[in-house]
Amino acid sequence: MRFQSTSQISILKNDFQLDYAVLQMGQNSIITKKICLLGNFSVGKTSMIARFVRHTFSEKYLTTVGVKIDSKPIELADGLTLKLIVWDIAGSDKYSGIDTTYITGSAGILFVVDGMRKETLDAIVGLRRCVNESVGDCAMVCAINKSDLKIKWEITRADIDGLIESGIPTFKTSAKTGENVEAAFASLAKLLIET
Amino acid sequence: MTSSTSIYKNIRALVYQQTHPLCLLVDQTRRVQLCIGDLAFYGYHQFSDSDDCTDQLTFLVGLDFTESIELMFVETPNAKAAHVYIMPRGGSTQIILLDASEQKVAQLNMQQKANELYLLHEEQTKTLQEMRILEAELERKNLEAEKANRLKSHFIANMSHEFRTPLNTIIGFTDLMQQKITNDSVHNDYLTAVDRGAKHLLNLVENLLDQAQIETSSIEIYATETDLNELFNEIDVAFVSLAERKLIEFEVVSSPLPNLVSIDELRLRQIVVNLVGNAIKFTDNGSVQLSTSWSSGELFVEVTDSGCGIPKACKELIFKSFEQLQNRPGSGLGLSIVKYLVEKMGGCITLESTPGSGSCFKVVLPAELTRTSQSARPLQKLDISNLSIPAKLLVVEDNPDILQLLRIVLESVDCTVLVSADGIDGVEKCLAEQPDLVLMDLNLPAMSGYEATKKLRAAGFSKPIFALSASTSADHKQRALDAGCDDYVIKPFDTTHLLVLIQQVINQSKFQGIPTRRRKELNQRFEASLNDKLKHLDQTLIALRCERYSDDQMRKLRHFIHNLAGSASLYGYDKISASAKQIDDLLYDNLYSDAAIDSGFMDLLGSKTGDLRALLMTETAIVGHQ
Repeated sequence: MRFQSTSQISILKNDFQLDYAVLQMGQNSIITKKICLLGNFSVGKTSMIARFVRHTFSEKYLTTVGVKIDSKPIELADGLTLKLIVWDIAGSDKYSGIDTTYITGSAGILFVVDGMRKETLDAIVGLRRCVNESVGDCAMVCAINKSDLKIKWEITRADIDGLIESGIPTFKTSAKTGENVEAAFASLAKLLIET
Repeated sequence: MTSSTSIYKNIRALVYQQTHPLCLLVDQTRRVQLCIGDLAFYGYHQFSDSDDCTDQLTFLVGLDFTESIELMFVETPNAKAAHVYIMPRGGSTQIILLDASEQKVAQLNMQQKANELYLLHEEQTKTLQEMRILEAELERKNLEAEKANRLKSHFIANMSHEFRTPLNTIIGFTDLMQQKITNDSVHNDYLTAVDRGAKHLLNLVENLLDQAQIETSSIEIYATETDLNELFNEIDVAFVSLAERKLIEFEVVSSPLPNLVSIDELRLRQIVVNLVGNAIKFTDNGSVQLSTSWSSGELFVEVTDSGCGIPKACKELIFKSFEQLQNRPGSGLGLSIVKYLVEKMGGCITLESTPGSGSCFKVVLPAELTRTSQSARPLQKLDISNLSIPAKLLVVEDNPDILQLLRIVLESVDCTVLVSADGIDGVEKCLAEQPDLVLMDLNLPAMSGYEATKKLRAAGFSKPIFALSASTSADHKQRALDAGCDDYVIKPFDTTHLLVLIQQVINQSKFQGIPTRRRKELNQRFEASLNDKLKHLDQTLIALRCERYSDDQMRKLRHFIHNLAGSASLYGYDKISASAKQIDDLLYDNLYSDAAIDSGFMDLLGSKTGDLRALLMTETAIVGHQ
């Protein structure tokens, strides 16, 4: 078995009480799950993945065309490994939706929002509907990114509370500093294992 | 056949070269059964029989292979891009990858520019919104600042107004005390000091009030017929003693000035008084000169001093509000007000100065000649020591000090003074007593002076009413005149001018109050007396020459001439009145100055009286023919 990233983290080991069914899978069991990052362009999806998978960050904005796929193994308790296949899908905007074929077969979605652009949060409503129509119910987490530039944020505490109340665990993240990036992925991973 | 095969081969080669197709056949256990194409081109390794193909082909994770899927621009392990086609075929699945790297580069460039453009546009929109918000905030702050400034100006104006009334009491009573000659020089010095201090304070208050009015743009310029010679003579007289006290010379040098021009007399006086006052204040040795001239509708005023001068760097600064040069006393408002007034009047002011040598302020103001030859109501220069106004006056004033001052001043010229402390009582007393003139304060308890005046006019009271007010506002003056007042006297008032004004108006009022038939009789009587007046003039002139222009004869002549000027004006003989007034002024200047009775004076008096005689003779001849 070969991973594109060799870094192994155990963020879930102590954080989550895995259910009995998973534990029964035995030593060195691997669960592979496809997750997709969705959001408007320039919200920081590629940077979130670079931080999560490779621990890198670049200030330069480079748009994504099509899809880039990374994988990241997460060591769970008792020798269980969750291998995340992370799809970095080209950002959408209000004029163009997402290509739903990319999200076919996804087990989880990480919505990414730019804290400085309220419209990127508003776009989540449409994206969520797309996901529900294409994939059905699946695990969802939201990252309000660019918390290192919080002074310029348009998104308010009330907006975030609204998201949480709608059933989406939400994190204030910074791909630049790494703040809450792993927590957001870990939260999604937890939901993947639980469902 | 050979040809078509060749074409088919060429196309296939071309398609292979362009798309680098990779075809994989995968079974239900996700094992690769067949692989056609170059795996390494896309960065994949060879598959062994036991390998789960999703370990390398991660885009297949999650798919159930039950339906065809096309995935565009999928990045491969070696960063190439491929279009991926997944097609179920029986129990197996065909997976085809076609190279799309070049297309991706083109797409990337286009998308990158489009996205950057969008972000730039979004940024600009946000910046514009922020600017609008800032602009609105700035506008709000400006409005707040303007409001605060207006409140401040209003406060200053109100306070200045409040200061004027007590100052009126101080200056008025000091004046009364100074008129009582005593031998106690210390006592006199004290009074002079009080008078000087009060007038200085009044000047400061007036400057503050003007500044407040400038800030609220409520200073209006009212051009009236103004006697320039009289105005500059008065300024001359006003400053001589001040200059003497500082042991410096002060002189007024005038080129011939037209008697009457159209200009705001109050503001012109304020400008010149400020400039001359400043010049004397800042000159310790030498002289101050006020030069005036008039040409082609413009009045030129120059104030030159030999004082300390003004550094070049401060020449603009001194015209700014609240700016003072180091070690200079004052409010720092005088010159800024002067500049504002000059410009408001359509003129300009310049400064030439050499530090240590002195300064010269030059003012040019538009001042057109007026069409009429007589001033609207020039104040006569009178020695009020012998003035008598045996009339009944009502003073409606709630300030007991001002009331007392007016009572003393008016009773000193034989007036019968009635008093009232509020508007309602004032109206009742006025209608019951029918006084010859009413002095009406505007700010009264119970009923304002405006309201009281309106009620009196509505009740048919036709005698003169003078408004008394500490406000210099043109609006207040207009409001008073609209209410029915005949004139507007600003506190603090000059008692001499007030008395002269009262005398003039009462004389006129008495004449106008006479029934028409009686007035005609009086007019005829005056006409009939013209010949007698001519004879009287001749006799008086002879006596004057015989007694070598003695003071006694000069006074007798002036008394006769002064009465003639007044009565001629009353009966509509304007030319006679104007001619008599010129002689009156000439005699006054000579009587109350140290000027010698020289040939120049005698020639001028002879010429002027000759003119008056000619006018009297003409009118007598006309009357004779009637």
